[in-house]
Amino acid sequence: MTLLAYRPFIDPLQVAFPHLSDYWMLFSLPLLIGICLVYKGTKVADLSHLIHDAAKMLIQIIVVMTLAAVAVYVVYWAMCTWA
Amino acid sequence: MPDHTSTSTDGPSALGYAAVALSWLIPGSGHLLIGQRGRGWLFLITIHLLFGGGLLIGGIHAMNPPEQPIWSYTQLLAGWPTLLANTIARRQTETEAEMRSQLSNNYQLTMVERNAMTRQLNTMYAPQIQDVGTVYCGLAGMLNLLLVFDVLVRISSPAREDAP
Repeated sequence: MTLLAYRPFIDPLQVAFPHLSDYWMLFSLPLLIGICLVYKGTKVADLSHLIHDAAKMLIQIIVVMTLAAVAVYVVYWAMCTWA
Repeated sequence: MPDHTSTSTDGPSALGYAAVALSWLIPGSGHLLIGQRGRGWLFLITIHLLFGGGLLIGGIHAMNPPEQPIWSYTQLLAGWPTLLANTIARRQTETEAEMRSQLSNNYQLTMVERNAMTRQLNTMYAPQIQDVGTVYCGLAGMLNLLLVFDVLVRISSPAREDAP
């Protein structure tokens, strides 16, 4: 009975890679790619434009989310400094 | 290419409605059924990869997180992968309950068996990574809902123009 063996799709991936939770934010990238591909797949008339449009949307999301994160951090820093 | 779309006088055909239902059950299949092969394969592969990726990252307990029931509903939108994963998750929960019961009541277990069972029960839970898996499966479901509506729009208005 192999109780401690990693079982894909049953055990969390962290069982095989113990420090994986330190990099959890990187998992958002494949998710964003999937979202952009599906969303743009429903929108574009010609699928030959799909990769271009999906890449553009992906970059927009990453840039906006990064700016939002920076803005929140600046507000947090300001409140901690001057409050 | 089969035409399951509507005209101005009659509504979508029965096969068109079947495509909508099938689109929920097997992500991407609705588009394949109405003749949108490129889109169909794209959606089929992407949604299944997202859902499978979620299960791979978070394990089976990424399904139906007890503290966040809203994700259970969004995961249900992903169709057959959710139905299968829910069945496996239920069995896994029963197995774990049995292991806990054995740990509490079965005093004939050796210390090695006892430690192994305890470690396995502990490793089944990795909240931060499981949340990522939960989000993957939930978003796969929400994207599938988008596809269901997309099929509905395509069978209802065949002359749909490209949207921004």
